[in-house]
Amino acid sequence: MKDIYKLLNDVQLDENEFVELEVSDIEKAQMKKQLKQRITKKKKRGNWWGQFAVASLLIGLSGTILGFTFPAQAGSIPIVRDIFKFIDGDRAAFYENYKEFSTAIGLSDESKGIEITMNDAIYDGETMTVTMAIKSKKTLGDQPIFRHTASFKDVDGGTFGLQIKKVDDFNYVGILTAGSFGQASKDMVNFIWKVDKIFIEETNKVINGNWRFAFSIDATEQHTQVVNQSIEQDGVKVTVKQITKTPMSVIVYVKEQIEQQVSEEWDSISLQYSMKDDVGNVYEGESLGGYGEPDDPGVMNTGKTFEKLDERATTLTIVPQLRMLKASANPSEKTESVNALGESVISNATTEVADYKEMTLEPIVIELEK
Amino acid sequence: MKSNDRNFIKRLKRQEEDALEYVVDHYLPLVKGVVYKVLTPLQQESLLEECMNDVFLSIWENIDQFKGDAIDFRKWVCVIAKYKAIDYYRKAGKSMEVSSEHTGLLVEDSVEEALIQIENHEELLQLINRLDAMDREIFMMKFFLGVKTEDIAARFGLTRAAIDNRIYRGKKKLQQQAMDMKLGGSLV
Repeated sequence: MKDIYKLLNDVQLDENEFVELEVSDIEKAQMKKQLKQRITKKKKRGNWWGQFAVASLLIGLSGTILGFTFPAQAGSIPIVRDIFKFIDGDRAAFYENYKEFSTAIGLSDESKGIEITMNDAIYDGETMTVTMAIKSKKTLGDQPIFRHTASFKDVDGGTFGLQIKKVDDFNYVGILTAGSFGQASKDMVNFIWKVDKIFIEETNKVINGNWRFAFSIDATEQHTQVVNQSIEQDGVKVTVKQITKTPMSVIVYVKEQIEQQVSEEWDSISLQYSMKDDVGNVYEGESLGGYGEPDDPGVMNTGKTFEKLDERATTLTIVPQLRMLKASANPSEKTESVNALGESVISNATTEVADYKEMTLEPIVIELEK
Repeated sequence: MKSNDRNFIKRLKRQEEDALEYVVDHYLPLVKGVVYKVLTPLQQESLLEECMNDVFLSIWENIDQFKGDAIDFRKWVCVIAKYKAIDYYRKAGKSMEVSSEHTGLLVEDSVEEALIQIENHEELLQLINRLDAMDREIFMMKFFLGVKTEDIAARFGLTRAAIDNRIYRGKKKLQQQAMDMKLGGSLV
């Protein structure tokens, strides 16, 4: 049988369809770095034993955790260390120092023969990250989808992400991130998480259950440096307001101001930024979302968490990049589709990208306080 | 020895890491162009990066399946990028809980979606392998690469109706074979 990549060899697509986009040296370096990590990991993991060892250790873990309710003991089981990295294997560097500064939670809840155990949590003043182990009597397939709601007590809105990874047919691990950028207390949060449905893709089966967790967590130490440096170009102003260092990460706070004329021209404008230092490190980051200002529609306050800074670094260079998109919509056409949970979703219009532009702004260089 | 435009394919096949660096340096703008075009409407930055990353990893892992020179390689890269981007788009659409105004982007009709929904690409691939060369290419374009029927027609110098007809007949054939393979009625 011909492999898909061999078949793709024979397909001739219209060359005009392919347009090159500008790529910065940082992007190239970042791509190479991530690829190298993935390749070397694959080489190391090449043996069957490696995977087996991880799997059996985790079985051991979920088996053991049943017997303990004391957080200290749950946290001291060594394999838990790996959930941060195991789950997000390709970006393990991002979670490098998370385990070290995390707090053991050790809470379990069981429903419909599926037990979820919260292992370690950490809160940096913006984002709470918690690892979990899931043990099920019946398999949940390769990539179960959880319907869940997460919230911080007394805080409206937020962004939440859940990643689940299979260890073996009956054991899964997960990582949940929750944040409410700029709104939650910097010192401590009360976190509530509920799951009511688990969807198994392979069999189209939905498990209705009830899993609930609530706990509070103190924030890690934070050190803030006020920056207030701006760059303005073609109707767009980007200001780095402050950077906050925590033991395992650095959070960059940015204010973006877009002139009306520019925002009217495009349907969607998004700002990304990459960060490097003066000793050759390129940092990986995760966007935190943002909030606007009611009086000024052109303003967005956003944040991004990056991995821990190299102590040798004396300056940080932040390169803002804008992506502008124009869509051509056909509003008369409604489409109906079914989502993972079998619910019907009606979308209003079909959309295609009509125009797309990228613009890289001049870098902002920040002297780090020692 | 370093990779250059004459030896990088050979070096890739020997799994020399500097060849992968060469490919990133020279093909990232192209891969970015293809991936962004498909995935930008989803507005998920991490997905864009992950997908591009996946494209390069697939090139690295499947280079043995590649045949040809640097010009063919460029085409192969484009096609893989498109294939991956569409795959990501479909998966993201599937797991999105909230309705998105962009979900209509690639959806053409439910039968075709159903064909893609065959859980395992492997199975669909097995079926596609049984078609003759031309139908195979049409199906690859249509279902894995999201090419519009008009564009497929232009590529083969046929009318739209002729392509539709071939797809229809091809589908019937696949359906029959799927039943033979006991995949059940997942094609309709």
